[in-house]
Amino acid sequence: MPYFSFENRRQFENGADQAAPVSSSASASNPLESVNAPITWDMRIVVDTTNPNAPTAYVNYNHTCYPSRQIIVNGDLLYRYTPPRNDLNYITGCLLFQSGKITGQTNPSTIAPR
Amino acid sequence: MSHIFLKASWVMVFVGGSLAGQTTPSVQSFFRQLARQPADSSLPTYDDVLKVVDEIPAATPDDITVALPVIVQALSHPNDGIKVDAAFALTAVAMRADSASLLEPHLAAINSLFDSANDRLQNSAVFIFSVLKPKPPQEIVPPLLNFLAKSDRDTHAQASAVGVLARYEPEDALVTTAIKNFLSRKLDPESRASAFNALRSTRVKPQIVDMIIAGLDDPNQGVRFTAVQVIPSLGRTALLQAQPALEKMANRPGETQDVKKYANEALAQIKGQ
Repeated sequence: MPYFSFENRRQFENGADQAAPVSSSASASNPLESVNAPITWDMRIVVDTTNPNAPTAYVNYNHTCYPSRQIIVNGDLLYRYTPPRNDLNYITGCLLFQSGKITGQTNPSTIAPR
Repeated sequence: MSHIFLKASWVMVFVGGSLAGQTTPSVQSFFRQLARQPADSSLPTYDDVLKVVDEIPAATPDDITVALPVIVQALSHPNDGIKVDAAFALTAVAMRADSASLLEPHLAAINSLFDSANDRLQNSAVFIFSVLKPKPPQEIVPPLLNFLAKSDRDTHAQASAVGVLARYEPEDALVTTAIKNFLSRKLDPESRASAFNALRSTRVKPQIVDMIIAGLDDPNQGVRFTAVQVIPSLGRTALLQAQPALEKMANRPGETQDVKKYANEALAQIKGQ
């Protein structure tokens, strides 16, 4: 089972840009498996601090259907994806062929102010 | 009568765009219908393709044998999405224990994927060749060498081909030359690192080891990081060959701590620590 971890920390301060987008897009592969079955993601997190006491955030997401991933903003879980399967056929399709990409946008939700 | 019913149900399947609530078709009937789709038709969803591909591991050899001609036919469909679905089915066949004999009559069709403009299809051909069981046939070597020699193919897929060839025929002079020629090209750092990774734990000739050792001085940190991790996996002779470059790397001002850590680990391995 490939282990993969990526973390991108950024502090959202009150009084900063009222709608602060953060993008994260990249590709990574487990060198012990095929070097051409990359885990890819292109995520855009938009934080709106128009109301500093109740900032909101949402995520535009586009990523391979394997493995799991989650986005946490100011300690609040904004997005979580868990693959429905963990078997070779599924992973081959997701990573070797980049089939079944997961795309969409979450609803804006209130996050903890800082 | 049943044939007419089958055709009618498939029209409904593809117009509806999903297999939800329907009996999963056989591999043969699914790809026969897919191969007949117009180039601009909507594609089945990934879940629908998976349902069919999931039948492949447990299918009888006879069922696979009758399905393969229509899967191969779908490989030449003008719609790239349909080609990808067919290549996906072929990878599932390739992972079966009897894949070398099942796919032997279709090696030429798999080889044709190397000519595709789609890098995923090029890569799938490398993958299929690499996993054939019980072992890949000798016939995979010439098309892989030919693919590796081309300058207009996806270099990431070619990097995978480097690994397959190095594992399959490490003593073959043509393979050594082809890998040397590939590594001599002006590759992007990611492709070079991929090729180094693909050579991990192989028994390649010293002249190829030299090229990986040269990666310890690459201006790109990712390439250096990969090279310093791959070299210890190539055996003690390779490690000794790399010792001067590893010592230089371990003492290089400005080198990252991660890279230095692996260089020092490799040097400790030489000293038997």
